[in-house]
Amino acid sequence: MSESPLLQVRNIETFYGPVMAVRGISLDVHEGQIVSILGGNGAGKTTILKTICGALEPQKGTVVFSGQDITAWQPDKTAKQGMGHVPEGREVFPFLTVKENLEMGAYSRKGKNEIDADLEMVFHYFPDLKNKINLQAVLLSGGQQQMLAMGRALMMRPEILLLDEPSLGLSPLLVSEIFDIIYRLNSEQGVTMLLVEQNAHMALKVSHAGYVIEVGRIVFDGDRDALLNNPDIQEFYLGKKQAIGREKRRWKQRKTWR
Amino acid sequence: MRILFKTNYKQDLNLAKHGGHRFWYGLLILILFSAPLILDGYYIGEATRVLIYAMAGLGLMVVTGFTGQVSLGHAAFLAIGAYTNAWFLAQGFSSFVALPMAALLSMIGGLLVAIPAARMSGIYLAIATLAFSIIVEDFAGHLNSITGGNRGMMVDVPMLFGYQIWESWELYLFVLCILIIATLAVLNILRSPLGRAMIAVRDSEVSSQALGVNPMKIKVFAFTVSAAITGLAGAFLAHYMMFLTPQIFGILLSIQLLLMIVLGGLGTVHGVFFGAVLIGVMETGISIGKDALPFSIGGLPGIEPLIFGVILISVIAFEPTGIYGRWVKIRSYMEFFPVYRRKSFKRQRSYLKTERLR
Amino acid sequence: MSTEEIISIDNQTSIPALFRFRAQTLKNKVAMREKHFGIWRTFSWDQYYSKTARIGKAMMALGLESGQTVSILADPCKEWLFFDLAAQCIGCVSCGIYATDSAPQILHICEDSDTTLLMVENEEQLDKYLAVEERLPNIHTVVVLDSTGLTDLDHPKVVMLEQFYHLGDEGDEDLESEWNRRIDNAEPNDTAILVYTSGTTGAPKGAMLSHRNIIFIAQAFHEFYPITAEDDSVVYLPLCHVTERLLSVFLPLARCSTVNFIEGQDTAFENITEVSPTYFLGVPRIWEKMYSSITLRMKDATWFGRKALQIALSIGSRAADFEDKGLPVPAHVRLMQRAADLLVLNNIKVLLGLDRVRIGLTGAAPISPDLIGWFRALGVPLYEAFGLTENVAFACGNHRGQVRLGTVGKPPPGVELKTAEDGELLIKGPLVFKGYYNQALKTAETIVDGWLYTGDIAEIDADGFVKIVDRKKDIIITSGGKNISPSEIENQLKFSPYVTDAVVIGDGRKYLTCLVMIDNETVCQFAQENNVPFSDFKSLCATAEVQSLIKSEIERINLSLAQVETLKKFRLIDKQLTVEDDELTASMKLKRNVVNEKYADLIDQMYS
Repeated sequence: MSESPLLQVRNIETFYGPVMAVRGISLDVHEGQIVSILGGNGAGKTTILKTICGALEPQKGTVVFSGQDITAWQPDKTAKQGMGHVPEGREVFPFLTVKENLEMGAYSRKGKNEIDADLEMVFHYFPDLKNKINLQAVLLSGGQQQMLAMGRALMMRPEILLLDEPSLGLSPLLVSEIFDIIYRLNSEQGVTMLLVEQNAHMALKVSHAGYVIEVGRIVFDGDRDALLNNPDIQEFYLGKKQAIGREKRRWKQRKTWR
Repeated sequence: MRILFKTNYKQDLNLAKHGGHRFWYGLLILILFSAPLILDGYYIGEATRVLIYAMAGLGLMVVTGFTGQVSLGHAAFLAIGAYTNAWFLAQGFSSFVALPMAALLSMIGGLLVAIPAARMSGIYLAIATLAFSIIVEDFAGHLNSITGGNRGMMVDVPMLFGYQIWESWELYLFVLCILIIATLAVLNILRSPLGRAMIAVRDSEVSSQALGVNPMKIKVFAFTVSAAITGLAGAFLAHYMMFLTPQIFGILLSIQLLLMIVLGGLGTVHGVFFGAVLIGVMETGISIGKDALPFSIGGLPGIEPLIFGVILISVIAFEPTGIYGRWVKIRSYMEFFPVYRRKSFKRQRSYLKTERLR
Repeated sequence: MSTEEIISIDNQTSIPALFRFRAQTLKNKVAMREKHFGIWRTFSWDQYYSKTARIGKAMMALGLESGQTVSILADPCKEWLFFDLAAQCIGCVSCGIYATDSAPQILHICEDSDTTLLMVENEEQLDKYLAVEERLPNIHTVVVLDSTGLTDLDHPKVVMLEQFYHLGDEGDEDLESEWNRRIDNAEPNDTAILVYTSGTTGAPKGAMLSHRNIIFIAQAFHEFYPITAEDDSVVYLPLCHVTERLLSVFLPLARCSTVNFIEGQDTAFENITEVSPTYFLGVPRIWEKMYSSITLRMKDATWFGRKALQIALSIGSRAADFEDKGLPVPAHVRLMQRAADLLVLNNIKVLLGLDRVRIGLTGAAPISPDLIGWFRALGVPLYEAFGLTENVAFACGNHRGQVRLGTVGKPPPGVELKTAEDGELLIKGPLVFKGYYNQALKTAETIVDGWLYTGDIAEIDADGFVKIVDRKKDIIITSGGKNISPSEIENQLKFSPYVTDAVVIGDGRKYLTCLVMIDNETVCQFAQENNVPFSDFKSLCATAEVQSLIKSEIERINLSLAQVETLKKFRLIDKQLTVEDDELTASMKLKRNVVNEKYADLIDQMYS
């Protein structure tokens, strides 16, 4: 990984009114990688993603994508630049059909043949959608909507896919399925992904590297092995109980990083 | 900067939260009451006009600012209130009867609009209210026997307990008293569960329903209260103008009211007053200023509306939260000085999932 | 010791007698406030006394005899005070244990002090006791304050607080008269409380403090720092620490002032701001945190605001200079200072909760004189004082009109100070403790001929101001034979907003080096301002810019040091240290020996 990263985020600071949501965030995503941002509720993961794609404006810091400074660009501009965003909670167009939703994904593209080929590719990865191709999106189940949202983003032929909590509200079986698809998309199609997840277990299965966020700051980062083997991550995020070394801690403060 | 030391839950409900509030508002009321001693007749008249605008705006704010129902037809309630008041006075009743009747009939009008309108939202609601306003304006024009039709109607002076209010300062004080009562009533509603329900309906009907609030009932309530207050304002408007014609109560008046509360600061009681002062001052100020300009500019037709429009657009563009919003920023700066954070009020791109008017 | 002078307050010579007297005379006056569910609730002296009496009676009903020990293991709360005073009133000795202590540490204290009754706050603390239960057969009752999570507990020795109260309510008259009898029998020289000092060598020892010691100090304190019945203070530091005990339990008893309990550790600063106390004690770390929170906020403030603060502080500084020397402040300076305060400084004080502070104190650890200067310029009367557990927390202090920055002031009347040949500070007077519990040898080492050997090296100047050089044990002797006081150097370094703590190393070495712990917030801000990318705390420490930032801070203080004292190298501690990991003391001082051990490899790097 010696070439410069595809996505370079430096010193981001984003506010919601007077409240500082994230501070001092710097991360890298190299081409072909899946990078995860892990953390609990309210840690600031979605804020980071939204800042990257332009839905939120950072007060400090820069976002550089493919060598281009896209800090504070509007989301439609970043999308045209190749940044595909699958928002939290799916956000499919409820009254358009599955096909129309996917076609919307290809909005900024030209070339009917490639678009049709991509449509086939999406159906190849999400066979469930093919059955419901003319159904209005609002009638799909949560899992299918998630697939639709991802497929729609893929239709953009994005250089990087920003996935915001793909496992949110889905059954464990479906979560497994989705992550399976994520893995295959990356390994077979080479799609670079930045993943925001609360489900650390699944996320670490497919990621190459990760950042752990707490209260708006990064508290740990490293490649997959470093994350899986770190005892703090094992205890706080993967549920392994620590046998020794923590008795002295106050219950409230059990969670501090060594 | 003040830090409140809470020893009682009731402290949260107080209108005046601390000594500072009590002092400044007390001072304000004192100044308002002593205005006739300082200003002369013309300015007292202008002040009365501002107070009447404020009362009308207060009514509109209840339904638009706090319940989220945009009304393009509030001139209708002004009309109903004005004509009712004038008619009852003409029949020989005192203001003691005429004013409450004005409010009552306006309230009925509000009910009539509310019941269909509460089912609608957005553009349909606006059209419904507009339609109501046109109907009322038309009625006013046709009911010759009651309203004097298009030729107009003279308005008697207010009469309380046999005493007739001829002086401009007497009218001013009368309006001021009623306005203070109305404002306190609105503030009281806002801090009660009903008031919170209104705001809940504005922000998210679905969530408020999930908590047991009936949005229909709340909207109807808001409309009736709003109509009553605006009706009272209309009654006083009748006294101020002394001569009523239906043309006064056209769509332009409704829009002016709406403009007033938006510029003042939507969703706040302070905004009503800031807006009323702004509009009142601008109208007078522009005509005085026009005379000061050289004739080549000042004499151009339409110069007044032009300046009016430019000021309006500037306020909206540079301070979308209205004049009260700007005042809050200034006050925060002074309150927190020197630790006031440079970008405390920087607007973030919309990130809230709410149906509130923005 | 021949006839001792009688020391009393309002004619009461013991704490129990004083307490009872206060309750009888003050009745409905507010004694304490506690924040509960968002609002502050008050408790009168009457209620304070009656609750304490019920607990005392319950203790007697369980058979507690005079002279036995009661231990308290809880965070600051009103029940802490009830148990503390109840124990003293029935002639027992009250011993506090840090809530952050581990089970083995609790075992040591309970064993060493012969505890017979233990009060614990909640399940967490109870668990610690249960872990070492078999080795504490002398404890016959454990009282639990908060029964959350314990409804199914069925343990013969454990009693919930509500039940415990009832134990005292039954058997009324006999217990009532016994209660009063025991209060009457309290002798001034009886041990009132036991305070365990964390020794740097060996296990903690229990210092016995008598009623006479405490009453004397309460009076002496008042000489320098007048407290009245109208004063408010905040209880937030652990009550087992003798300084907080003095300020929050005994001083209010002596002066009838009111105490306010914080809601919890997380909301401490918020609560201080709400209460806005009139006298406030903080360990240096607290003052440092307040200072850096303001510096941080000012970075985001408007240009005009920053400028205004700068000017206001310089005006305040001039006024403070006059006050410290005891000279009257010239009228024009006073006027400017009033203006600066009204327009600029007051808001900052309100934000910190210091706007009503008449007496601000710092002690328990060395503090940078520049920091005190900053607060004085702000208009907060901050004084540095000094004392050990062994002399009830207060031996000397700066006070209004008698301030020399860099010193810890002069002793109050009744206290004698002198230095031994090697410079060790010695104290004599009614404030010297009785001795260590069951440690005759150690006691004999510490009190010789009535003089208390403090273990601190000090210099007393011509005007009688005491300057603490360092802990005797901490003095560094380089391989060249030079004596260096590490605290002095560390203090200077700590004044930098980027440095939270530092440990100077050099004992037996050729040159001095240091380990630095940086402040996460301010350094993060620095990195953000200079667009320095980093991920977690560790990587922040590792960036070149932060390394050079700290380097320049060190070079800055090196300029004012003698050649042999300069710090040649440094390393950053890239982990945030905590009390629980035993790296910090309860007053948040860096434990020198622990740090030296844990970071031995870093140290070796610097000397290789």
